Amino acid sequence: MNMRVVGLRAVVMAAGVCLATPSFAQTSDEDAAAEAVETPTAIPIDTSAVTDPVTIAKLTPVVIEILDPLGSKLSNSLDTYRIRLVEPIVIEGMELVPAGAEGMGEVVHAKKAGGMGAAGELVLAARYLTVDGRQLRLRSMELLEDAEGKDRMGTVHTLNIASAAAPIPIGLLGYFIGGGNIEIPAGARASAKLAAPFAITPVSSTAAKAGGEEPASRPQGDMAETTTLTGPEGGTDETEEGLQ
Amino acid sequence: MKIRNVLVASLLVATAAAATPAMADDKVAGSEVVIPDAPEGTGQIVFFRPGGAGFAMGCSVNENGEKISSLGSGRYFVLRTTPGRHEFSVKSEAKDVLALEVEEGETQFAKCKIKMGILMGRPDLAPAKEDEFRKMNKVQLVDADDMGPAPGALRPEEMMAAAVPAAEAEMEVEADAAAE
Repeated sequence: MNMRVVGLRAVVMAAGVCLATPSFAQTSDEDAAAEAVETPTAIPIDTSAVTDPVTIAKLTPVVIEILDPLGSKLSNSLDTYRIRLVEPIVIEGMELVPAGAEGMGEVVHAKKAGGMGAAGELVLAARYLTVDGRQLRLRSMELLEDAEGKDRMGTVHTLNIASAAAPIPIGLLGYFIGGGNIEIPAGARASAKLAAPFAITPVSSTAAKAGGEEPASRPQGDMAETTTLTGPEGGTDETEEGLQ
Repeated sequence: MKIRNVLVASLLVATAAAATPAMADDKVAGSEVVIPDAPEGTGQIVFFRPGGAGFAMGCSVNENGEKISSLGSGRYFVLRTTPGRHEFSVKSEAKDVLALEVEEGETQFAKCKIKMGILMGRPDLAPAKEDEFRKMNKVQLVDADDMGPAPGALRPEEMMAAAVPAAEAEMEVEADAAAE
């Protein structure tokens, strides 16, 4: 539905450009008097088509990066952590949200590993990205690749992890056997989805073209160059250190 | 088209025959349990308890101090609730709390295991993967008597009513695949 809306707007934009361009060519060929008459109707470029808000559909997938180290031992329930958009959100060739937009995630649940082989537990959720001064709400976070740290077990729809526990203890000896803790380094990547539709005005047609050429395959090192909506780049350094 | 319809019909008959025991009180493999989809505006958590240590102990899952359901060894129940953060607790000799983020239209899993305590076992509630539930050899829905008073746990008849459309949809997909 939203894709259709985007598609229609793209057609409107293209039509606007087509209508406007010949009118300029025509005016250059005609005399000044005719131009003065025709200008009011022919010149207006349909800027409203370019700047009309585009709605990004609910459940649109995004790739984010966790900027702070997290862990079942390190984190506490209801802690917040920083996240950043890794890949721009591009729809119909228009870069609507550039990579680098930062936001916030929340530790829904954290419990460090205990005695008796109790495993560490960590449940994370992505809350929002700050885009254009507004909150783009996120949901359904899942870690990607081997981002679950050195101890891993699983992801559900939010990121729910219980670490690999020690073997089931036998007798009182078990009291001193600890389960594993979960560690998630800064720089770990995760997927998430938009929790609600988000209307945004494309930055500009030029930026849209630039962003639309290679939205998903941009190397990580280029992220800082495309960051336009966020503040300090300190997080990038921290991230890269975390990944090494 | 006729072939597809025949396939759907035959698969539905087969499903009805095969699914009925899973809906009833019999034990079935975790892989055979049909979990209904969460309706719009809700999410689900499947709580289950693998067998093993402390099988004689109950694991009563509570939210806001109210019991949602007991969870005996090898049992499971499906909690349907509102999206957002929910805190669940289990208690015996010690209390354990698990918070989960319920997402609309999605199903998560949580398990209760009994750890060794000083005088008695200690229930431990932890996030789990669907695989862990599916690989259980025998699992049985919690009896309706052991559910509540807190709302949300799907009773056996609700599980059956909700699961039949899901099974039909699944069968139609399989029939489409077979027809192709």
